[in-house]
Amino acid sequence: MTKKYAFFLGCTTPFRKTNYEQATRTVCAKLGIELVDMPNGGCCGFPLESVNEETYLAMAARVLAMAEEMDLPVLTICTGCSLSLVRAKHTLDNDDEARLEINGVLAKIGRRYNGTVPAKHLVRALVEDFGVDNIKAAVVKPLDLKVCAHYGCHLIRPSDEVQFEDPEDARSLDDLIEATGATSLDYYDKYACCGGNGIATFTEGAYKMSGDKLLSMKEVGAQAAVTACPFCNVMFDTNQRAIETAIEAELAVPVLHYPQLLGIALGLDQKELGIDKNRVKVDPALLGAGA
Amino acid sequence: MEVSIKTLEEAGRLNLNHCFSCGMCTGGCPVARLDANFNPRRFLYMKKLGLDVDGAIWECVNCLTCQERCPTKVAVADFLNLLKQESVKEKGAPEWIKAQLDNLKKCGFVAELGTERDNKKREAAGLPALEATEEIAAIIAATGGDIE
Ligand code: SF4
Ligand code: SF4
Ligand code: SF4
Repeated sequence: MTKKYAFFLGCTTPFRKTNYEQATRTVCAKLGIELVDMPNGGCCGFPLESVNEETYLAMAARVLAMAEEMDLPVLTICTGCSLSLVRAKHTLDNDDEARLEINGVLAKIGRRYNGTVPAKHLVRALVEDFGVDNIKAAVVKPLDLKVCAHYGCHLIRPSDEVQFEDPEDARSLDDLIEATGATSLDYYDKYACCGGNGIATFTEGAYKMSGDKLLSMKEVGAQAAVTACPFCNVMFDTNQRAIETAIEAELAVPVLHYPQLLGIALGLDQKELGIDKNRVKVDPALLGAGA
Repeated sequence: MEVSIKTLEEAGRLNLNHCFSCGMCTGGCPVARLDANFNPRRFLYMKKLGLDVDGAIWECVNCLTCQERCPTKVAVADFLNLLKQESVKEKGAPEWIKAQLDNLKKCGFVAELGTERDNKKREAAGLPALEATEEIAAIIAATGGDIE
């Protein structure tokens, strides 16, 4: 069981979702998962994937090379970061010419990509390395709560490169939710996108995509939405007011980062999980211990 | 490593010629559902015919549903991403990407270290400070990622 990771924050989490980072650190400490910081980790390259292929690849390879120097697998908590690193690894491990060229770039900053460490998103690390049963065993306050899981596109697609689970029938996040005692409800278009990537170019459309998902969750009786990506969380939580205006409907759906949900079930303090920083207020009674 | 729609198609990484026009890509696309002018299958044929695929491509949210569902494994989303790269080369980058690029060159993150969002706020939350890095600027310069 791997219990030690190079903790890659990316850009969205450390600047905009410190509550996600707090919850992750608190929960991992409780579970005995050691996170080694990468304070100068910088960006995974994802935002430049649509600008220049080589720039993107070299930026992602840099992060993987830094983790290699630490001799640790990378842990990400952003689905964008995880896909960026997973795809780059896929390309560099299968294309000698690309690896040679990218290593030429990395040589200029004194680094080298060898392909010796994997990159995993927290959800995948918990399922594959820690184990759902071990999470169940660690729960001290089983939750009496109905929630809906939002996977985040880049955790599950494209499946031929991610090689994790069936993107039309994914279970990982549902299983992790149910390990806390909460019920994970099915809802319409469960695996659809939050629209986050379109926020600058297709703002109204992005709000509509998020709004449709939140409405579907509400329809099936969800008491909260659960996310596994800082940007999906920006869409659902930070932007919920704007979404309500755009779709002319009331939502009021609290949104929890998965480690916030897990943290409550592990008996951790709500403040240490950053729940006070959630934009849509979470009724403390909602997170009270279940029977 | 010359990456373009042409080179990747030749390397068998896009499979654009496998398209038999079934429309699954457009049918599952969340953007096409909201904007009738956005149609990944049509973008594919426009490109084949040498027509200019205009700014609409930037509406793509990169959800990869089209690519996932294509029955003949056309890399539809990768193709759209390459169209974005071509558009940047020919017409320059959209403003919001330029702003991110500026920050990346300055500190290595897409947000700016040195604003109210940064280390002071992190310290208050008991989180370790972030450190700026010049390595990203060096990578951008070495790979021609700097756009005006
Ligand atoms: S922001 Fe949207 S596109 Fe990005 S990972 Fe989250 S769900 Fe996917
Ligand atoms: S899903 Fe694939 S085969 Fe069908 S139209 Fe789209 S690209 Fe062509
Ligand atoms: S990746 Fe872009 S084109 Fe493909 S389904 Fe998603 S939004 Fe539509």
